[in-house]
Amino acid sequence: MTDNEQSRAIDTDLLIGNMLHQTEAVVDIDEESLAQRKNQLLDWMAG
Amino acid sequence: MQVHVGAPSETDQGETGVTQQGQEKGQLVAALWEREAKGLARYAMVRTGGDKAAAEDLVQQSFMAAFLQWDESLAGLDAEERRNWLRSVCRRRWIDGIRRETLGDRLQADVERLYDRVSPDPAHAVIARDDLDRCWQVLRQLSPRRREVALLYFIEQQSVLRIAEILGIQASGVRKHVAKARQALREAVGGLLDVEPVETSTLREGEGEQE
Repeated sequence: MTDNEQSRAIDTDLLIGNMLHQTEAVVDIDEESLAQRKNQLLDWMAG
Repeated sequence: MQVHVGAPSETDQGETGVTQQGQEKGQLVAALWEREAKGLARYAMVRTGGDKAAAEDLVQQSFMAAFLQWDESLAGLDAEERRNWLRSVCRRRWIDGIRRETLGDRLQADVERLYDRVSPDPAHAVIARDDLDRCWQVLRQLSPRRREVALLYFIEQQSVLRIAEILGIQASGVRKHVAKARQALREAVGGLLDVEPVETSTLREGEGEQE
């Protein structure tokens, strides 16, 4: 494999990594459940 | 992957106490939650492949760590640095979860090194939502082991041999998972990855550790 091909392959892996990282933007979260988690945290911090 | 991080324990509660300083710190952490919890939950959801409970455990544990380490770790940080700190803790706990399942404690040094890693810059290349939706579906449909390999290789940029150590599998198995994950992503969002197929010889094998 030439240096150019290897460089392109590495670029592809970085692109995939960046794409996977950006999937955060389309992930659905359960805000109600998260709010319950916050209340648990508040209770815990309050001792 | 099953991440066992659990809810706050009785012992943890007993250690915190209730002081004015603790109350003020609690208010700061609560404000931080309002700013960062949703984003951190999305971050954790990607790592857990959509396992909501495990992701929320990671988020909750990260904020507990913020409360316990506020003075020494977070007090002097700006908003961006606090976000990165939370993500680092979340990432470490995610990897700790994998490590507990497979390896024991001998990779602690690597975990500590990952703790200091900076996340890839999301602005490096903006990708259309449709493509990200397809990417997310691919990620969720991968087997737990293949997803762990893909995340460790492509996002955390770990070498093949290091991933093999973390997961307790053969390097050849890691290469296979990387190739299959790449193929699945290429089929889903091929236009974004419109380059020649990558030969396994170009994978990050680890420093001087060719198999």
